[in-house]
Amino acid sequence: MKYGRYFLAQLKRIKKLLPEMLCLSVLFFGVTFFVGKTLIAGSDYEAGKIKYRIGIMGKEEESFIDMGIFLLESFDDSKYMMELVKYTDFEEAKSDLYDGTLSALCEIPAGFYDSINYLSNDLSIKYYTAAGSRGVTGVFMDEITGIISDYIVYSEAGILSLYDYLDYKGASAEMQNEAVDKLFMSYMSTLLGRGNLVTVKTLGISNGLSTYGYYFTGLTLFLMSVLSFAGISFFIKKNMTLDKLAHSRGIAVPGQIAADFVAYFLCNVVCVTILMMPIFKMLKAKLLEIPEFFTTENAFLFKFYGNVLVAMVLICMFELLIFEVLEGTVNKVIFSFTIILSCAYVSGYLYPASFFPESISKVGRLLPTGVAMTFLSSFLTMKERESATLWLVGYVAAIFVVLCLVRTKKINK
Amino acid sequence: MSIRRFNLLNKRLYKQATYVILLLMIPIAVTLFKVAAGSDSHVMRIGIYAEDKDAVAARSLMDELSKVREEISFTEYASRDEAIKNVTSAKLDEAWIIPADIDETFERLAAGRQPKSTITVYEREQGVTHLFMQELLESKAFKIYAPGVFEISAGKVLDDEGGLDEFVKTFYDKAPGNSIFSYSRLGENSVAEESYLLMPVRGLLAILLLITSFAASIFYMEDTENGLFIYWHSKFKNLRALGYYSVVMVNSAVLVLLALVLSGMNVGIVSEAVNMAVYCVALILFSMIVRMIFGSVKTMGVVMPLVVIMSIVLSPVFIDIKGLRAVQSLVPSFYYLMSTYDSYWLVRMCLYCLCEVAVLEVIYRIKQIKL
Repeated sequence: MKYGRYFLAQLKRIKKLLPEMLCLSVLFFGVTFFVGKTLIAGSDYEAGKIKYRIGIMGKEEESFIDMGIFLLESFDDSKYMMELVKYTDFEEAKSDLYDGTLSALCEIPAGFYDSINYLSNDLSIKYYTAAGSRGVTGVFMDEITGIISDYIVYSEAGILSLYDYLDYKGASAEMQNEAVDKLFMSYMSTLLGRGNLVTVKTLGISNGLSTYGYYFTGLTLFLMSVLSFAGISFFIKKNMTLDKLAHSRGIAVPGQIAADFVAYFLCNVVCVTILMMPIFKMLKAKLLEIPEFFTTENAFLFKFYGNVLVAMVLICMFELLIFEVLEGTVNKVIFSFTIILSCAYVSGYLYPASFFPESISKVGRLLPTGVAMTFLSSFLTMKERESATLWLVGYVAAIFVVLCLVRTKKINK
Repeated sequence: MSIRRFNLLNKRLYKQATYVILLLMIPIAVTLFKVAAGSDSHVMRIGIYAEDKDAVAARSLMDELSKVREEISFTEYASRDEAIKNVTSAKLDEAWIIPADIDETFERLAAGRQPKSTITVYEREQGVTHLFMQELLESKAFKIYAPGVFEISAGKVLDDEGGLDEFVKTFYDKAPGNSIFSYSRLGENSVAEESYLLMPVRGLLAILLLITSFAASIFYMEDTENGLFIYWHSKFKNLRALGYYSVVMVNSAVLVLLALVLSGMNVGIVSEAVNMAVYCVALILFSMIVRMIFGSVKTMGVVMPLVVIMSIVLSPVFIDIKGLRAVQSLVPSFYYLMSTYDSYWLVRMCLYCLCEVAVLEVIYRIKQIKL
């Protein structure tokens, strides 16, 4: 009975915060949705959908540039990755780069065409990106310039070799030029037909998550992790009076913790349930297409929802522990968020965990946030369900024990 | 603000565990990232299985791929099935299966004919990075069969092919050494090449400073509640707040600067110092505006995660989102990260500070609150 009353008291405390929590949850949902859209836009690809807008800036040899752009956009495979935009005014191009309308800008210097034509390569194309961190995209963009350089340089090597060979054989200048034209055309046709070398086989996502599935799982858990900040008032208490009073009335620490947890968890369930509705609607309406959701029947969506709630048990428990360990309002406000954000980052909620070194990935997987990620992923992939569930249950039990120890120590202080 | 007051405030701050931990987080974060950047990590992992390991073209291809930057890893597999299995289980991003008759494939490509067998690329799903990898493979292959294209063309010109072998052998010596592309960021500052894992460090430090500015607001509210400002009376309360926040920010800013300089991730001490100074002013004013609007520690606890998450997304910490500059320009960290390499953004950050002063004044007048 006394436990029930304590639980009701906690429930009343958090119920008062519910309207505020709901409003803030919607805000957090909006932010997370925006994060998701941004992250997925960075890795998304669909044939025919233009990804990188590259500016080509050149005042001279306009026909040469026009022809180059026409050839690339008409015949080359690169048309699936980028759109080329021609500029004649550098300031205009620069302004578009600053505005983010362009991903990169290639400035072709005056005389570049002659430099290539005479195989001297004494001029280079200036390749600009806007200021700021280049990130992983920069790694690929560097490689792309290397790829283009390779095609030009080794075609030139062929042409120079042919000139030397024909000189050695004493061929006439006319014969040499004719032969070089033919060789140039051979290189051009080889270049345009380079795709013949490769056959691509897409295996599908029989094991592991798709890019969409990965970010969807990570961001769902991220949203649940930050929801606690909507109800931060629940955790901020000036002293331990209430806990000590409850303890003196015979409410044991495990009972207190269980009551705190259930009240907090139920409040989160309400928020998550409301937030899941638009997500499920979007999945059903195909506005959100995740390959792992091969069916959008209610039964499957309900099962997913159930798994989200189970993962949320661990996240809520972990957050309860963080707020219990931290003392003082300032610490709770500043560090709880820093800890949760760091754990979410290392566990790969925002950035694929495979990008990290193996040691960091392992640490990320072992954190409570990582265990929650593995658990929810295992539902979508239907792999290693048992071990993921065992880890989750083990963690919940371990955190509960630690929470009891911390609270006991605080009460006895 | 006098030096004595600065020292007194500093002394009080150093007694706050929260503040000291926030300061310590700066070198710890940089060290951890440095350690991580030194470890083995890759943005793409490719497994390669050659059906005929002795094929000249297969060996040449492996040699060429070993020269690719280390962020993309290539591992040779002894079994085709194992390589494909590792793609299925997401241990590899792609598996490349080189056919036994790869030499013939390259010969046919050099002759402009359709190859009989091709390199099979196994991937789990399509993506822009996979297209990049395909282009990389094709360019490396082109480098290998480019001499073949020359040999066939030259052979067709004259009936007597004597001496042609020598020219094929010296083919690569003819390749012009000058680079076709020269990379630069817009702006005058440049920084040494850094690991992709280190790239977000500056962004994360900027975010840490943003959190510190929120901490400054919370300290300020607590001190107001505790009556500290009875001993620091001022007609210009906003200026007094500015002085208070500056003391909180200056230690963190100096530590961030030191961390950037010592870790080699800086564009020059003067540029860094100027950027940091303006960024700190922008953060202080931003945090003051947030405090004046929301006004309680608990609300700050709710607002801070929202602002921090939005700042991470809107600033180029991990990726630079394109086409949303109007929204991006609302957060101070965006200007700081952009202005590091280009004074164009530094000027805009100064303008942003002026706008903040105007907003602060308007809010102050509207609320007529006592600071």
